[in-house]
Amino acid sequence: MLKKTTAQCPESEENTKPCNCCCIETLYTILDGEACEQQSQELMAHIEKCLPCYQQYDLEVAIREVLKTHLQKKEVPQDLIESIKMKISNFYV
Amino acid sequence: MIPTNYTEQEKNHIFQKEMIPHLESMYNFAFRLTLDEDDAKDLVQDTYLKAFRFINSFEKGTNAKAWLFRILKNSFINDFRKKSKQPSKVDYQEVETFYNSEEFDKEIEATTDLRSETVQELIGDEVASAINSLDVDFRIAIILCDIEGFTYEEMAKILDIPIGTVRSRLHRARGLLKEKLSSYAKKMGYLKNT
Repeated sequence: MLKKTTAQCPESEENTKPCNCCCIETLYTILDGEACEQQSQELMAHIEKCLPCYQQYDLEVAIREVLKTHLQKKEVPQDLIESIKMKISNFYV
Repeated sequence: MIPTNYTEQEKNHIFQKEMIPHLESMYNFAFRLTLDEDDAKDLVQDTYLKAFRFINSFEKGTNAKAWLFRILKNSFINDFRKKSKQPSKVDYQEVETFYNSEEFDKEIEATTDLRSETVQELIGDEVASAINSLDVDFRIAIILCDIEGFTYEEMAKILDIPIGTVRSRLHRARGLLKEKLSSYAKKMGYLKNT
């Protein structure tokens, strides 16, 4: 669900403020794995108590899931692989 | 970055081990951009030939997938889109004026009736149609982040834009996607018209 976060917690005052119910940007940052551990934990604790935030979180997670699971992956055509290999080998001719 | 002078053997090794494994992601990315199988094949072939030709500018140990995506995106924007039937690039001035307006806030509020249960009812064709109907620059932002899992920093490099612009483009793209999904859900009767 959540991308693994590797980000460091920023020092700025703005980023140490608690989650704002109306701030979807914060939610995106967390779901995209761009927030620090502290921000993620704060949001998760918050959404357990706040229905609008929980619904928003749930919707964002569902959209990400359908994008990953419902978009059909196309198989690479065999002639494309052959054609690339052939053209690369022609570099040496 | 100073280009490396790889030997022919090293070039082949890098190409086979670091570039070829991303062929499937590249082909799917190309297809989502061009929306045509033949065009996607041409775009991927063109990208791989460029990658091989300029392989000395690839630094071993860095992110080959992001490097390839950047070449493909540039090929699409600079060469390919001119020849294809794709609509012209998004006019950001116009788009930003609209998205910073109260009108947009009202439209987004109108989509708040979209719920996770409704989204889960959508089928693949509806999701594909929703994403394909987005302007290409917004479509690219969603594909790179939500499907391919690139970080904001990688996206900034692929798209040649600052991280702040990556954030705002994603924000707008997601707002638009929700709007499209909501309208498909209404059309299919999964969601009541309000």
